[in-house]
Formats: sequence, C-alpha cells, structure tokens
Amino acid sequence: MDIDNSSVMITGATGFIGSRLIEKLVLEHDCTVHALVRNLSHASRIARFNVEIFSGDIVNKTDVSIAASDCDYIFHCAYDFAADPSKRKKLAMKGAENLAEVALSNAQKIVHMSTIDVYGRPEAGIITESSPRNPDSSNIYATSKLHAENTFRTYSQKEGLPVCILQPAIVYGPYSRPWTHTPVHQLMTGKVYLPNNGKGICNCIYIDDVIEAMINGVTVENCSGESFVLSDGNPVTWAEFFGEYSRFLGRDSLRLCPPGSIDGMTGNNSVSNIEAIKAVVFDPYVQNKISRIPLMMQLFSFANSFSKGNLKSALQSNSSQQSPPKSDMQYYPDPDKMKLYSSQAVVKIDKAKNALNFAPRFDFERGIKLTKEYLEWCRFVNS
Amino acid sequence: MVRVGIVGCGAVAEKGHLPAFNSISDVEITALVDKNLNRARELGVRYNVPLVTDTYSEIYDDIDAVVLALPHFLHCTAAIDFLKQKKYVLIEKPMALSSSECQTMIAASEKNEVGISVGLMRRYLPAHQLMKKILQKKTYGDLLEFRFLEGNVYNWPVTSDFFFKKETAGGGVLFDTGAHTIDSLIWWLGYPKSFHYYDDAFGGVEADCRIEIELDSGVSGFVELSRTRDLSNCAEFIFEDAQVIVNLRKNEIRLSHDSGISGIQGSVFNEQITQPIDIPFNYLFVLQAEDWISSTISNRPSLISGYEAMKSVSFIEQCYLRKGKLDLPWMEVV
Repeated sequence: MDIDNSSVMITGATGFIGSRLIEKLVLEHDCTVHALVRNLSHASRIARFNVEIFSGDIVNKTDVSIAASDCDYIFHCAYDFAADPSKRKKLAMKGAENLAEVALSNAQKIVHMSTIDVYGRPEAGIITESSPRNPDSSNIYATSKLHAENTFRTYSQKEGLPVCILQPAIVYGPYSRPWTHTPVHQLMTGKVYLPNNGKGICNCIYIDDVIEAMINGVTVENCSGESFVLSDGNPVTWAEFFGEYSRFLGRDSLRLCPPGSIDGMTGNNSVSNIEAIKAVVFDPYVQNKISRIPLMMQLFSFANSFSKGNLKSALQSNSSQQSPPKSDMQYYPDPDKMKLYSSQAVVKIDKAKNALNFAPRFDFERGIKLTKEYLEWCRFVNS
Repeated sequence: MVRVGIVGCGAVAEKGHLPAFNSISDVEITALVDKNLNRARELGVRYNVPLVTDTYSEIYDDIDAVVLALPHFLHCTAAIDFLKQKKYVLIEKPMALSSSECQTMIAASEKNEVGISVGLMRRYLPAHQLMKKILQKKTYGDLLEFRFLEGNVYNWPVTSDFFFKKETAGGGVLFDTGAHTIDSLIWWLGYPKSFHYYDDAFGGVEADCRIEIELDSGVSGFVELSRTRDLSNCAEFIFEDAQVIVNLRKNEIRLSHDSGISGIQGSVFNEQITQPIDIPFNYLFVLQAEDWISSTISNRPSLISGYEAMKSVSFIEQCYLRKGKLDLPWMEVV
C-alpha cells in the first residue's frame, strides 16, 4: 500500500513537521491535503501549495470533523505551545479524543506525533518502546504528549482505532526551531555551555526521515496500536551536534565543560542583571520579535527619539560601523537540558526498522549538510 | 472639512488608517464599511463614526473621499464605483490584480476628474527620498551593483485567509510585500531592462522569491523577498565611491565610504520632519493621509498616483508570467 494520490488531513499543519509533511505529500505523492490551522498568520509555507486550509482547533470536534471529511488518513502534529501551561495537558487530551472519535467514525488511520521525551531523561542504557514512560512532571510538553498517547492507546485497545504513535528524538533540519534555529541563534549571540565535556549522546534524526516514518505509519500494515521510537540509529555526541553549527558560523562559541563544573549555573547568571537585560533587548533577533508588539513599537520609538540626539543635518552621524551582533550571552542548560545533554542513553530503533519498515536515509553528516545549505539560504552567514 | 469613509475594516484600517485620519485636522471620518458588521461597529464606536454599514454603496452621500482597504481582488471594482461617484480614492497597495485593471481604474479617474492614490507610503520616508537623490545626482559616482533583501517570518495578524489564496490575493510575498519593494526599486532605479524571476509556489502563493535584474545602464542586482526568513530588510547599493544601505521599512540610511575613514548612519530629516522617525509604521500613515487630503483639497496629484503605482503592478505581473523554480538547496526531490 502506498500513500500516492490519497487525501489526508493534517493538524499542526503550519508547524515544522506538518509543513515538511505537506511539502513531501504534495510534491512526491500527489496527495490532496486538508490542513487544520489554528493561526492563519503562520500559513505562509503551506499556502505555497494548493491545499485546503481549514481554520479551526483540535479541541473543537466540529472543526476536526469538517477538516477530516473525505480524507483517507489523519496526521496529528498539533501541540499548542502558546497555551497556558496548566491547561496544555487537558487540551492535548481533548484534541486526541476528538481526533480519535472522528477517525473512528470515518474509519481513518491516524498517526500521532509524540516525542521521545515521554520516556523521561534516563542517564544511560537504551531507550526502546518498552522503556518506562515516566517524564518529569515539570516537563509539560512530555507529560501532555504522554496523556495524548494514552488517550489514543485507550481508543485503540477498546474501540480498535487504527493509530500509530511515533516518538522521534532530536529532530533537526530546515525550519526546526528547537534544534536548528535556536542553537544557531545561541551560538551567534553568546557562549553555549555543554556539560559532561559534550560527550552526552544526541539521538538525532533529520526531518525527512521523520516524514518517511509518518507516511509508513499509515501505509504499513499491522502497526496499528503500536508506538515507535525514532532516531537515525547513529547517534552523535552533543559536542559534535553543536560543533557542526559552530563551525558553520565560524565562531568559537561552544564551551565543553567537565562534569559538575556548570551544575546549578542557569540562564545568564554570570553577568549582571543589567548586562543580561541589555544583551537581550539589544539583540536584533529579539528586537525584531518584540517590535511586533504594538506597545513595544511605541516604546522603542520613544526610546530611540532620546538616544539619537537631535542634529538637524540631512544625515545624522552616529557611528562608523554597523554594530556587530551582540555576543555576550551565556547559555547554560536548564535542569532538563542538563539531563538531556549529560545522558549516555541510546535510542534503539529496531522495532521501527522491523515493523514500520523504517530505513533512515540521512545520517548526521548528510542531514547536517542539507541543514547548512538551508541556513546559508536563510543568510545566517553572509554568503 | 473633508469627509472620509473607510471601506474594509481589517488590520490595516485598524492599525494604520483610522488612527492616522483621526489625528489630522480638516478631516472627519464619516463612514465605515465592512462585510463583518460587528467588526465595523466595534471600530465605529471607538472612533465615533456616525455611519456604519456592510454595503459601500450606502455611503456615497456621506463622504468626499474614500480609503479602500479591501482584499486585493475587490480593489478595481470598488475603486471604479467610487470614482464614478466623483469620490477621491486612496487605495491600499497593491493597486489591483493586473495592469489592465490599473488602466481601467486610471481611465475612470481621468474621466470623472477625481484623483486616485495608492498606499505605497514608503515614498514618504525621508531616507527613501534622500536615496533617490543620491542615485539621481550620482553623489557617490556610478552605481555598480545593488541588492534588496526584505522578509520576516510572516506574522501579520490576518483575519481571513484571502491573503493565502491566489484568486483573492493575486499572489504571495511578491504581490504583497513586493508591491512596496518593487515600487521602491522602480522609483529609485527605473523600470528594469530585463530580469529573471524565481519562486517557491506550487499551485499556491509564493512564500519566497528571487528576482535577478539588469537595468538600462547595464548594472545588475537582485531582489529577495520572504515570508519564511528574517532578512535584513535593506536595499544595498554599491557605488564607485561608497556603499549605501537604506532600510526598506524605516527612516534609516547608512553610508560607508571607500576611503574607510568615515561612515555615517542614522535618521534623515527634511523640511517637514524635524524629529527622528525610527518606527515609521503609524507615522507613515499620517504622512500619507496628510498628503492625500491636501492633494484632494488643492486638486493636485498626490505623491503616489495611480499611474505611478501601476508600474510595479506591471512588473510583478511580468514576473509571474515568466516564473522559474526557486532553488531551495536542501529540497532533494521536486
């Protein structure tokens, strides 16, 4: 069975994974796509295609039902990072429930995008589908995803819902906010500190391999009700992972720290509050984001009118150079990242290989090469 | 007192036109129109507007001039309806979906002897006016090359999906943001002699595009526009003696002289503007509103006439007709 010429409904369609899924489904499989979109402002990347955009939310069953009509498969990628953290668990479960019921009533196969984080942060050993699922309660993302998984599992066991649950590890590649844009931004604007001399294991997976697994999740027989951990099967160290970005940027901004040496160091605590605030506020990236808040636009305008003086010449002289990007931030891992970056645990993908026909095509060398081409295109460095 | 109506109560009316017209003298906002009547009423209450309706033909008797902030595909029809009523028209950019629509609108304007202006308000930026003078007067010698980079990860608070449909929006980033960028380019450098156009649309509207351009003078350069990347939002000009970088969205210009000794950067002032304007978004609407109102009172053309605005619509139209596939180097299969 293949997915060519199918009709699919995608939640979280404007996100990093949903957008790439749509690109591949349309360009390589001639699929008809229904995209359920909560915020139309984010739809630029998917509006490049002739996809049907449904404005709505997974927590509204009618929205889900309308968007899913006439579709063969559902891919559930939505997660509301913007929601009140105390409500995310409930929202994730409500969304899962709506999707499960709609999929059941339409006899549609569904792929639920979960995360490796549901297994918590084991210090060592291997992570497989039979590892205990015990994320730290402070990791709202992981606990919400786990609750959604459990909802789907219940529907699968009791009602026979054909659902495939995917638990990818560190997904990087073009448009990845957490594992491409953020590391690059941090390395450009300050020092990034890694514990354990950077020797912790990074179970990474290139975005396109995740997409292949997703497609297999609906096309491969007998994987209903199953969950699969995903990585590219050839982990690298965190020093190698961040090191590639650092080399790409041509910056010496990665700091590999001996075990114990940065314990308890959080955020920008090595600089004064004023310095830290200045570094954030005058960071062009942050300014760009903040300046979209109307009130902030007025404040910046006000502040600038003071700082620029009042010379009545045609051109007002300030300085001879464009100020270089600020690079005095200190990025220490938070307690959760500390565990992630220190861990020696390796994700084993044997089950996905055997039962999902998962055959990763991108090792880190190949994946990061494409990622760098993307970053160059983004003009992160002057090329 | 000029009585102004605003047709289309989306984000640009709320954030730009309403506060601008509310702030200038000799103007009264007398009518608001939106198919979403609740939306129009809400803004009507906020700005104390006497007439609020969902049908624009009901406001003819209550206005002298109208701002059209409608989905792009409605620009032509609505403009012609108001011009026939001899109402002055300020229309949001892009002027219309095609150059033939623009021509029809200009013809209606001439026949009815009322002006049509287009909201390409960046021309009011003093830094942009200075850039034009630098190019005209060859202050730093001949131009050698240029590049325009404009884009942000798209986050405009759209209230409907018309923006993302080709039929209603006319196109993607080239048609929308590009209406400004291409207007600046043509205003500064003249209509390109030749070009190659590439974008990333596959049946929808493009999020990224690149135009490689050659001017009459033989000088070449390129334009990149994006809804997925945070670009510099600057035009860069390499002259024989200096490099000049002008911010496409703000009143900022930067100069580096080849001697390496001096470089200056900052805001530009002129007779009208004696204070720095670093965040121009709201203020540009005021400059635009003032120019448009004074042009209607004195019956002179405003800075951006329909004829001026048509040039960028024509160029964009030509781009779409000769579209090539944008190279996205990480996309393996396509």
